[in-house]
Amino acid sequence: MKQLLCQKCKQKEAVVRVTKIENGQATQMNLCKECAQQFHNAKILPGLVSDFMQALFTLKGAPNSQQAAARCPVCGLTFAQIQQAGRAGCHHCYETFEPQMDFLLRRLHGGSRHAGKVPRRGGCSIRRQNEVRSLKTELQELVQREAFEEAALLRDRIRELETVRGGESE
Amino acid sequence: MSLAEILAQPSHWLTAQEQHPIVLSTRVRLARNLADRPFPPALTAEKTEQTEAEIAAVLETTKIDGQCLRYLPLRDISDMEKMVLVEKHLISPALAALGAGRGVALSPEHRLAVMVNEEDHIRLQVISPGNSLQEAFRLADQLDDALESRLDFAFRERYGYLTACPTNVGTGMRVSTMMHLPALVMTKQMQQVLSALSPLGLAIRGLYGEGSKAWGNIFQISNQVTLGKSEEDTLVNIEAVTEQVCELENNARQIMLAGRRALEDRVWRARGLLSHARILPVEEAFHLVSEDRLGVEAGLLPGTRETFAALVLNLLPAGLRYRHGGEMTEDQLNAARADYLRAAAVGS
Repeated sequence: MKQLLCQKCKQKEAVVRVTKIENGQATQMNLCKECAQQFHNAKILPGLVSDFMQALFTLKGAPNSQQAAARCPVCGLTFAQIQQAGRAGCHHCYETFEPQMDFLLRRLHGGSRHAGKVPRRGGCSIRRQNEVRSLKTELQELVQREAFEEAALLRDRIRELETVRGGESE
Repeated sequence: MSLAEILAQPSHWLTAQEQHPIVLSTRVRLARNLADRPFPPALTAEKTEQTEAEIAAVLETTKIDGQCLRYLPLRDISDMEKMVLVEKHLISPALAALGAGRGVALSPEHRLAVMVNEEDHIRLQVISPGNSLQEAFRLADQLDDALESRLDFAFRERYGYLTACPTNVGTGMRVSTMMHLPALVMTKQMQQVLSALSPLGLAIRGLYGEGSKAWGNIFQISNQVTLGKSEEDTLVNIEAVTEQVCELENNARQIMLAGRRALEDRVWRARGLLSHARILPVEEAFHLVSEDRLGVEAGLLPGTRETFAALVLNLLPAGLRYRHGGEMTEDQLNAARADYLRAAAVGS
């Protein structure tokens, strides 16, 4: 049988075939034992860094990145740099490049509004708003099911929460 | 406690005696960033070290569920020790590759692990044995609350917790269960399971090995979506799917058991090789340990001394090198692996 050479060192016989996934592209390489070991050591838990997500930055239909703000005023990164790295430089990047980031977040997560934990510090009013939002959805469901007694109770609870919010300086 | 002692300490998730027949471990990870400075990749070396010192000081004086954290700066850790931490899932390969100004805080038995200055300022993680998502989350949430009371985290109402990578924005939470699915692999049903999960915003992948190969039939299910779903919803999703996959695996095991003699032969052959082989390459060792475990779970083989999770972890190269005190060639590793399995694994 013809001997297959290792595609990395190009010296020893390839004995292992590895698949590398980068930017959503799978490439196969035939490696010798030593090079395969190096490859394995470097990427022992493949997939922990989600390379393929970066591809979404360049999706068609994304807001024109030419129109993005020039640089983030805080960390100094340009949108092109963020695209390339697949990482924002600081949390202000999400504001600076909002149209682009918003599009990306929608594509990644299917939504772009946080529905989870809110920090306790300074988060009281946000938490209450979130609660009101979810109670209102629940209220609609109750009305649709014609569960009016429960709906009335829920409506009172929403009013109560909204009154507190109104009286609070934010 | 010295670094060597911390590394030698068995991780709780590896040694816990009540083993789940399918779910090896559960992991909850939260990504957090300080509000007043850029994310770690955009920080200067000086600022990175300053950030490290600030976070380390908070971590070392935080106590959760009676557990203290001990901070280990990466600069004090050798490359081999870093690889051991990676194999034990206590730091990421990405962190191991970075330099000064980074580190990890660990609690006794490694229930809590907090990476500092990886791509986010803080990545806190809880690993629990078996199927215990809620418990792991409760602990992670408590630690998050404790840190948040002393550190100001980057948060926006609309987007939630802000992170370097947009894939983590929102809850910053990644939840996963590690599962042993030999019967689904042997009965060639994994592809179906894989394709059923992706529309649900969940990912399943082999935890060890490259590409489509999953060494030891070990898979990890994790959430992909962090924005627009609450922590509770995500936990419930992963729990439900994990249970469903367990059911499929159990059904597949029952079907295999119907051809009892064939399965018996297969698992006893695995036990035979593990008990007598003198050279075991890593992939073969994973394969045999997995089949052996299937035999134990099916009541066809006597139990092993170590848990399946510990057996599998002890086959990996960095840990073997560390326990043997230094560099080893591939051949020496294969021999040491076979020796380990003969002595510790099947010596019931």
